[in-house]
Amino acid sequence: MSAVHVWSEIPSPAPFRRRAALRRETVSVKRPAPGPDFGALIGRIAAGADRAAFAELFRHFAPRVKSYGLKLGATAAAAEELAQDTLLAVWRKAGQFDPARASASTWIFTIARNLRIDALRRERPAPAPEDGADPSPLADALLAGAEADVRVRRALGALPPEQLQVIQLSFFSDAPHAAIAESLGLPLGTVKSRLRLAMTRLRALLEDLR
Amino acid sequence: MSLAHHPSDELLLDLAAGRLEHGPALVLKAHLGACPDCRAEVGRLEAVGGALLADLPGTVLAADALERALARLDTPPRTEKIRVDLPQILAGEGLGPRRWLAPGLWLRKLEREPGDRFTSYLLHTGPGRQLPRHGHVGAEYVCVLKGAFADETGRYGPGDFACGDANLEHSPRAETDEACLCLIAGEGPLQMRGVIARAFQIYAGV
Repeated sequence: MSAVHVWSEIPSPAPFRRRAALRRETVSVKRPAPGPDFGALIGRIAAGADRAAFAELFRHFAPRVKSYGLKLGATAAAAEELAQDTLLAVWRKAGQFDPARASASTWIFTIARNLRIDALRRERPAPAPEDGADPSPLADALLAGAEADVRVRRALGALPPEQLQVIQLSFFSDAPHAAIAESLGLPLGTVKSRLRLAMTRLRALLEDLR
Repeated sequence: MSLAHHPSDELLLDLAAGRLEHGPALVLKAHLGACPDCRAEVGRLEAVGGALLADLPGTVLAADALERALARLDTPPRTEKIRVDLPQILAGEGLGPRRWLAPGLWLRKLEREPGDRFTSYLLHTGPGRQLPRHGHVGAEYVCVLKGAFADETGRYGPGDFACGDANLEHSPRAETDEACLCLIAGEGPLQMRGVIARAFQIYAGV
């Protein structure tokens, strides 16, 4: 069970506009999914408005969603709201969660992602009067359930660290790829080729889960 | 049979990660609607996003965070935005050019199928704009795609279905905060009240 140090090679985040510093952190991607079956907790909310199940989901995911918001440059208050709103949407939309289509963490990721996009649109001078993110993933997720989560984690863990790093930065930084390249001290072409290599690798490792 | 032309891996990743601006995201989603391969790729990438989120170290929340979340559970949601899946409905329909009738007011006719007695069109009414008073010679079916309008019979929001007939004479007005887009199928020409409205109708062809 090894941890991959992803942020540690990143130099100071000078060119990043309006975003949190890329902190030194250790992200383990090989850890198997331990603990509760989060999909079942969402099922309990859908079936019986189970507040204990909600509390358990909240304790696990809300702090992570807050981290997600912070990484993408939200203020602490905005990141806290994103966590609140994401878990509230989980409560309200629990009936739409389909464990055959996506794992709990994938579904919650898409909710947080969409809510963040909506919040950014509302911030603009001419606000788009959107009212709540569409919670659905964009695609029919191929990978379902905790088992698939383990597969995805294993595939990520199998990536060379420099490829994993650019994938993580793609999800957890709103900097354009050019700024990511600059912050890594790499030519843009290198970042892009790492992304392509990583995606080819992931495709090969995960295609059979279709 | 798979398509010949696809977005790059980088664009698919940007879409899954929520990095694209609104316009490009829309175009990619339109492509996903037609392309199972790219849908699968984005699905894989969303699962990657889920795994990365699950593995993020958490950040400490406000002390009362859970309490506040639990208290919010029982508050009714703000009226949920209802969406009508426009591309899916109009897929394969021939759309005529946009014809401007007045500021903020335009329509686009759909190609009429042989044997269809109805004239079908998209009607866009700018925020707060009102249509000239008119009646109908036959049935009229309306579905609101976006925004809302109100007339003598009530208020219609996204997804609402309205039905008129020869007894209906009305002057619908779009709500003020947003333009209203409707898909309308009308049997026979509208019966405009007033000379200007009639001229408008002859030009519009509905």
